[in-house]
Amino acid sequence: MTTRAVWTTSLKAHFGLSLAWYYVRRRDIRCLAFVGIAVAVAAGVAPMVYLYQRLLNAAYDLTLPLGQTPVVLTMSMVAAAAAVLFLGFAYVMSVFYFSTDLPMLIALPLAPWQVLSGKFVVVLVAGYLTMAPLVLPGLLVYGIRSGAGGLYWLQAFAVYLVTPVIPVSLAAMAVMVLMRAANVARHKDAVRLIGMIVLTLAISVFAMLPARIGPPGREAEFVARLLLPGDGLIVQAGRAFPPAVWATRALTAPAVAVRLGWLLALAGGALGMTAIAFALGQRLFYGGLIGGEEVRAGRGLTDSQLAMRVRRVRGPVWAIALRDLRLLTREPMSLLNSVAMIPLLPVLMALPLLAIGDAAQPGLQDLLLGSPTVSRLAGAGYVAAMALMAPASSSAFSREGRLFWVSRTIPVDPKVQVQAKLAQAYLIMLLTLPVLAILGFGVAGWPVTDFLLVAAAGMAASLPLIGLSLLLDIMRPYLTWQNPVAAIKENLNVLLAMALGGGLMAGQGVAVMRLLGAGMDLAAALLTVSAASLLAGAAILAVLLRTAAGRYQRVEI
Amino acid sequence: MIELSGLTKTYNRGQVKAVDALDLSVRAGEVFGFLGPNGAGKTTTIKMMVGLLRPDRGSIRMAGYDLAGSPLEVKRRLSYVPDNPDIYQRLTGIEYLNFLADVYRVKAEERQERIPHLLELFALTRVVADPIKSYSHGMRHKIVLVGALLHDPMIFIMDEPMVGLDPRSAHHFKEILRDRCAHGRAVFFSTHILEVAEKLCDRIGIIHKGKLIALGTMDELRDQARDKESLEQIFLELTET
Repeated sequence: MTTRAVWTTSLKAHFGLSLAWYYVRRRDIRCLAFVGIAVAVAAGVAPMVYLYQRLLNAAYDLTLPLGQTPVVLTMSMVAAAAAVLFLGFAYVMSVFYFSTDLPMLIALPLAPWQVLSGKFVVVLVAGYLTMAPLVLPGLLVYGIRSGAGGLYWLQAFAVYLVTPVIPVSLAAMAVMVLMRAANVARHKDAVRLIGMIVLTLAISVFAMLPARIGPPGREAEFVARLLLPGDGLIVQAGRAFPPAVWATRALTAPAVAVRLGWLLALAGGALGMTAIAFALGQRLFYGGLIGGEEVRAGRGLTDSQLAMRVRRVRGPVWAIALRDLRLLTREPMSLLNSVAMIPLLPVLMALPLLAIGDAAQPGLQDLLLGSPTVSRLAGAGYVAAMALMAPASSSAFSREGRLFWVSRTIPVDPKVQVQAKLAQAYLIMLLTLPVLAILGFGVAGWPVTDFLLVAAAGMAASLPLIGLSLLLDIMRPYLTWQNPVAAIKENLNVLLAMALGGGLMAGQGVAVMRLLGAGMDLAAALLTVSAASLLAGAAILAVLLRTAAGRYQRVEI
Repeated sequence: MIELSGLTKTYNRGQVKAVDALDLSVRAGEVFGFLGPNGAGKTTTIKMMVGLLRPDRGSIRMAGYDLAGSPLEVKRRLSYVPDNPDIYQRLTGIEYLNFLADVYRVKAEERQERIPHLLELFALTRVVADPIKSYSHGMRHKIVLVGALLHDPMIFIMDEPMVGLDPRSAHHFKEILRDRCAHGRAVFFSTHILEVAEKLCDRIGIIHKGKLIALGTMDELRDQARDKESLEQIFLELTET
């Protein structure tokens, strides 16, 4: 009874269910906001789901002659598990360790596992939502095309419920160990950040295991074995996440008893992993939790040190940008998402090159680095993409949360405050330059002038992307979050900025390609598109500045 | 110094009147206490005065400027202390103070004089280089008060400023407020601590269900509520319904 109360309260609080129901009962127009968010998210993922189901249908067609069509299910399960695990680390850390309800929950007469179970259920439900666009198309494509009967759909429902339990348990265990380790470390936040980076890299390696094409020199034999009738492809596709193979067999094995057997195996595996996670949580959860609240005390300042620290006078733009940067970089999860991602992403993207194996590398190197045009476009694209992928701009106002009142009461014009947000975004963008230098000078051998051209083009292309991100966030800032990670992870503005900015960036790419196709040389094409980007950016900034003045007055917290 | 005229704020499409045609003025050199039971409209009034909420009707003039027309001029001249002192947890105390000094354009020599003095007065010198996250509730409240005093504002607007303060800090704070008022500043604060209002305020306003139901000095309030000696009794009688 008590545990159920913890679960329902956690779910209601985290997903805003009570608030939504309150608005519905009062027929408050704000209840439409929840519908609007759901529609916007659905609209945002719809194109991806459409392409994904086409891929699955193609996979079904290809594997039909081999009798291995269930690989469609395995692929979708592995993709879902990887997504749940990849997003799970950050989510588990925010829900388990940085929720504002924890001080209240800890004070209640509840065992650690009960508090943990409330948090686990929240992450699990988030996992169901995360994996829906990945698993449902797989289940539907296979079920419809194979003409599966009623039992398939019943079992599919059971498989859907069980599938995210294992990755969520794994993420919970990894994060609990990390937080406990960070608790005994002197620099807790640094340990947490490095731990999250290591976990992120580890999951990337894990997710691409199926991409390796067998042992060197025996690739042909390996492929032949995969294509033989049986389930070679299924086993290979499920290498990264063996429970996906069990789930596939639970849905497709010829005999009902065998199917149920695999379903029981899957459920047993999930139950076992959950039990281990809870046993670990009983020992580690509170220890790591207390560490999350602890702060290292300083030594104080002498009179002369204090005098030194208060002597420097800054203008409001720099003062606000510095405040925002400090707050961003001192929150480990925000630092990971918005700053560390900039050097990390190229590493994550380089990992598949290593995974594919030695045979494929020369070709890819030739493609990327052999052509001066491709490497320079990739460099400029990387800089601009980071403006889009790192959500520092698209959450710039939202991250202020309930403390947005400070920005509204200080005597600084909203336009100046927007300039500070822009300055902050570009200061973060400077982190792309060392990566670009490594790519340009270290790998591709660019001359200095080319490096400068590419860097300038990337920065110019970033202006409309950053401006658009800021505009979206000030239009409807998400200020009522309960933990700072939510300002990014649960912020629709971040998704919208990526979707709309992605379209804008695609337009920039197409423009460059068209100019190159028309015979213009690369430098001229980059400069032309840069100039157009600066103009577009200036137009967006003009709208942003005008909008900000009104929004700073109207946003009520 | 502060003039509220016909100030009105409603919620739920006009169904709930949080503040109902409030008329009020506070003179330079005056400490004004704003009293009322929970949900009476105190915080809503204060939030409108500092620009955090937009009034449905009415006007707010402070230090000679209309808040709606010249918000920045008003903000430069006032300090706001909210009831919740949970300020930037991951900044250190000194970073927070420097941030405020920068945005309020406090000169270097004034900072060097005021910050060490105020930190000493509120016993925060030892912890000022630590993250605010490590502060107790009272210490957070004190760092917010120090921040509010930094630019020597003409008007102090405070929501429950005494809650969480230890007796020594509360004493120093009251002394500072008195001193500031002696120099022509104005103080407007809400409180539940009737004793503080009784001893510190030149005038007191009692708000109930969004309406100002009593206004005046302690003596004038006593006259309004016959045979009542303490502010507590007056308050209870006036806000009975």
